[in-house]
Amino acid sequence: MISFRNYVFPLIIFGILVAIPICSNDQYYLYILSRIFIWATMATSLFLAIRTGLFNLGHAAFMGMGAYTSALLVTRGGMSFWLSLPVAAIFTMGAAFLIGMPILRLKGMYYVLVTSILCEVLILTIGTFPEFTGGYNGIYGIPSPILFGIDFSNKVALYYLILIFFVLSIFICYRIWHSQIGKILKGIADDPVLCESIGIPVTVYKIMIFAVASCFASFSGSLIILLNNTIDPMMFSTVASVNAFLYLVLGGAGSIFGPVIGAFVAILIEEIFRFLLNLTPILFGIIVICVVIFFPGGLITLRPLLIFNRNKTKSQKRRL
Amino acid sequence: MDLSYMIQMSLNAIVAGLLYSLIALGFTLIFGIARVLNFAHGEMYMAGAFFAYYFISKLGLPYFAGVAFASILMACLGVVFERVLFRPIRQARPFDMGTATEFPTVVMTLALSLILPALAVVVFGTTEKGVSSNIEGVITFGSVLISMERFIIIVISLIVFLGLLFFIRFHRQGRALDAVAQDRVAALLQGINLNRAAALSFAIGLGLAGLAGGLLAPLYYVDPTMGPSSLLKTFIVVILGGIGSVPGTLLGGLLFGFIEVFGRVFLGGNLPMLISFALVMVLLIVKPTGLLGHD
Repeated sequence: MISFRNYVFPLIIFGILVAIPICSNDQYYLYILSRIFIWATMATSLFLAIRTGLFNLGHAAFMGMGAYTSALLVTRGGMSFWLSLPVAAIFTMGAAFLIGMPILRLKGMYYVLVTSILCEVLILTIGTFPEFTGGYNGIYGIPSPILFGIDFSNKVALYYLILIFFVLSIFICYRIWHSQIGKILKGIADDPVLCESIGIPVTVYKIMIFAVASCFASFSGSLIILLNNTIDPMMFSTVASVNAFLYLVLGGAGSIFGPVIGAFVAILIEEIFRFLLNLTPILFGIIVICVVIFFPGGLITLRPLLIFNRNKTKSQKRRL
Repeated sequence: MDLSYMIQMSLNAIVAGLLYSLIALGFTLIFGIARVLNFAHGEMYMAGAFFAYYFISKLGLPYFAGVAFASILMACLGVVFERVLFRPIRQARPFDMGTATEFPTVVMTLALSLILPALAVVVFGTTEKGVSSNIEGVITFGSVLISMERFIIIVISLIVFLGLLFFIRFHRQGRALDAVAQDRVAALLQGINLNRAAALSFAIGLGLAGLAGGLLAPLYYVDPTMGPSSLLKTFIVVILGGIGSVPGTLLGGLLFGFIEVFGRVFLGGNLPMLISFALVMVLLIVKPTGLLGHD
């Protein structure tokens, strides 16, 4: 049920984000915002998996897969970036499908432990074939693409590109989550046995959402190589997965906008307190612990404080 | 490749395997009893190694005293962590079985795994630290040599393993731990104090991590980045052996030790790790609960 009212607040935010490069041309802010969009996409795709009950601490592995496929196709294969984007996504979805087949059958903690070694497997595999993948040093100087005469080495153009991808991804995830499929996914998270008993093919849905989540992770991976122009395997270590997961927790897993808010707040904190050097992770860790203790639903539960709150308290309670 | 060389490598594999299983044992105990999936376990091991370094190299304590103090300090820290961070979460939902989607405790451990290495960098700096055990001498069995240092590690870890097995089988508190691991609700109905069991499991788990850190410190360097790689090895050991099984953890640790040592000699590079990942995947497809684990 599409109701325009649901889109008013996001549209205002979107308008502000579109206006930002017009008001300020500071490359640094655009870079930070682009980073936030990429990680918010990543955290939102993780949201889909986690709310289906697929706790995944190896999500950055799929981001890395997408990024490396794109980077290798562009630099080694000479393919256009625009073509490499869907190719990387399809490749990553295929890989997620193959990986998901055995591991989605696992129960509880075995599944969590196996997903958390996925990133390490990717890094080791890349490190084992340095001639082809560039090894631990990564690949440098990935060329920026050109489309309709727009050169995306220009940071403003790149900002708009990433913004469009971000908005599209969030919109698609939102539509998935609030559709009939989304209801089934919530049901699978709550009680897989019950779902199975009323004829829902639980494993098929799990593998499907695993692949869809990795598809978005692959897109954000391909975009991050445009932003940085370099790629190295350590960008996609378990630390990256943990970060995406902590963004999700910080913002709140109750609503699809939680991960977006989480990524925004976390990356802002990281940038503002960069001068603390080694103390920054400590600060971030303490903030996360405080949020878990005092706002178990994440920062999104502070929404009633906003004047934009038109949601009834009932739906609010249900989401917590 | 003669026989004595093979025996020599096997001994090294046993030393490595025993240490890995000490770390993994703490991990699996904390998960089995407190239902906390401790993603900061590698960092706890790192903290134990740093405490040992501090006591031995900075304060000049004898090696064994230093290791013992590090282990005891980590055990106390474990009780504190359980009290301050994990007990409030557990008490909010007492009958939670800690399923995969239950994130609060996982988030806590992930936040700890961010905080602890940064703290270690702030306190001790980024340079690698060496610890000397001052244990000299070599034991020879025919043509096989084993340094006293490694021999003592084997002896201590075996004593700890046997002690823990006996504790869980025969001591009142240990049997309470076993009961909680098997069925929380039934254990609670029998009057077992869940909080005490969880605190005890954290104390033992972190104490073992501290012990392993202290014992490993003279063999390798101590530095703040050693947490994640040992956590990864812990995962592999735990999955191989089966979560919640003490003998399984020992078996998994030894298996991984052998793969690592022999793989490094015969294949080199990243291949041993990749082989163990492949082994883990194959094992999970064939027997999804690990070698000795059950549901």
